[in-house]
Amino acid sequence: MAEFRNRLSTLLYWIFVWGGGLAVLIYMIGPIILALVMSFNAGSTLAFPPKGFSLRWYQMLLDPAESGPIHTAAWNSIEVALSTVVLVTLITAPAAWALARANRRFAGSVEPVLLAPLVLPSLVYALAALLALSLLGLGPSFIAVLIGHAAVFAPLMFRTVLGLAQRMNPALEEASATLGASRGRTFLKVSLPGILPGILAGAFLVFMQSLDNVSVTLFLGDPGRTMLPLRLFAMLEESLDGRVAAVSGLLILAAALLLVTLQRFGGRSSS
Amino acid sequence: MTQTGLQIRNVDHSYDGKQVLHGVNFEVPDGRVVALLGPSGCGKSTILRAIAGLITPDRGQILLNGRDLTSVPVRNRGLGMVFQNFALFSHMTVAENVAYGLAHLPKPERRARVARLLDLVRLTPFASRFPPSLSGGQQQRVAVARALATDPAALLMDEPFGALDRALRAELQAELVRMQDDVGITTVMVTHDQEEAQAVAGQLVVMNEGRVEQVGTPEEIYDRPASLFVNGFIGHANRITATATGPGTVTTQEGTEIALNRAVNFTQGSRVTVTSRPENLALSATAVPGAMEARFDRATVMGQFLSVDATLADGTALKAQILRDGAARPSRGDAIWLVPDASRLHLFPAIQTGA
Repeated sequence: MAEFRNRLSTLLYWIFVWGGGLAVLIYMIGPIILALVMSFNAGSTLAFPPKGFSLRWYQMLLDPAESGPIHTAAWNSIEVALSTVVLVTLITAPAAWALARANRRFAGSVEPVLLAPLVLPSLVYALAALLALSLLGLGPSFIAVLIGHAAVFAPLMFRTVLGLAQRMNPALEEASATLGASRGRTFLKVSLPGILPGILAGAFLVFMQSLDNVSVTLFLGDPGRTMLPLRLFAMLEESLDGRVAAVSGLLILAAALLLVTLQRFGGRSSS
Repeated sequence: MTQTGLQIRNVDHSYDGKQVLHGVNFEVPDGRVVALLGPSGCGKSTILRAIAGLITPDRGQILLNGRDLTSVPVRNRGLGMVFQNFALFSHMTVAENVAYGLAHLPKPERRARVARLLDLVRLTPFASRFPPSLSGGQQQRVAVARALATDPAALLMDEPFGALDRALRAELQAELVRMQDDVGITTVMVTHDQEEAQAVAGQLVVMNEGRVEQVGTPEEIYDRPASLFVNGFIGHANRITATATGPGTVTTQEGTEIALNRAVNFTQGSRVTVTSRPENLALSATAVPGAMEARFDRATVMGQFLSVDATLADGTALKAQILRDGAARPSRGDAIWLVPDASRLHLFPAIQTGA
């Protein structure tokens, strides 16, 4: 009886851990593989299974004459995403570092407020921001998108930096001070290297989120400057354009490369 | 004449309204090692942090070679500090860690200084390694080298051996003493380990609950404890409840009269706590004057000594340490007599036991 129960529990363990894990993996990776396969389709529309292998969608996507608007949209999006990363880093890294050193009760009450944008639907935020802007007599613009993205995605970096800053041994900064270092030198030489992996991880998250955000961009963006996700939406609505799959393919490649670089870099600086 | 060494004068400090230091006073003579010793929470680390400048005490003065440090910021104090768990910069090599405080020096000089210090702590082959790849003992030596690199006027060490295992500790303590003989730097070390304090320091400052209980050499503190706390904290102290019954006699709770060979200034009839070191209790198989009757519990062999546990009729547990050679071995429950060495007993006002 005990033997049977033992076996049953082992079996259940395997079903839940391995079966569940496998299901999640398939669910997460399946669509990505599907998109990649479709991007190499030789057929004239987005379709699965593909009708042979070809790079025609990539060629078409990279050709400025054919896909000029997509390029513009992509550069606009990258510009917003990079600006967002810079803005978020400048605000968030010092804030998280300071909060980790603040009075614990104060930090405990401030942290949820700073993380609130994560749980607030970005659509609601975007709509509210648009209404607020128009009350101020301002319209959608590059700056509005930038501030919107920074507000919505800053908590991502805040979280990753705060985690490291809180785990950092306070004696490290004290040691630096006893060795004659100024506050500035201590921050640059001791604190910053300690939180750098968090800044990099946060920058990656913020960059990717900003790049493919639809709702905030849609409400706050200058209608005259298309952004990549909006452009892709429009293309899908007009026709089943295979270039959408090609864009996905490039984004997946870029994300994977960034992630690998980051892991190398982060791994080295933290050991 | 300006004073040399380190003086701590009447330092008070509170954390969140709770006073943790009460008028702390002590001195470290120039070039000597002093250990701050006490149970955890006694304020010894707080006083060390006050000396380093990591906290500003509410009141009091800290003088180093005659200079008042109280309002000097940490980075200008010119003190070296070895932190608990060492606080090494793990993203820098050993050499970079040691060079950290030497940023103001020209490169060749800095390099020469680092080389000399690494040689002093015998870590030259590890110069380009990163601290996490070193053993605990090696990390401790990096921390010492880093602290000494700036040629500090004094060295502060917070539980410098606490993170190391026992065998390694004794070795590194001996090494520190040897290095101290070479360098001769005024040193304050915080520890909760009395053996460590005695092994490294010539002078102990025993602290309890934010107060200095006694300052003295290890011998003075062991032989002439200033308080019951010091008596029990350094080495073992048997405590016997008694009453002062004459100018030189006390009578234990059970009626044994012990004649002290000196006068004591307790009024007759006052309750006292008499203490005795285990090695100052002899064993007797028969009743002799001044001996306390006890029940034998067990004996443990400790090298050439025998550690005897016995219990008085009122339940007081006593420890005696006697030479093993030729000692009688009573069996459990036997009556024995413990004969205290009257010249080495200490008397303190009785501790209030919850009535």
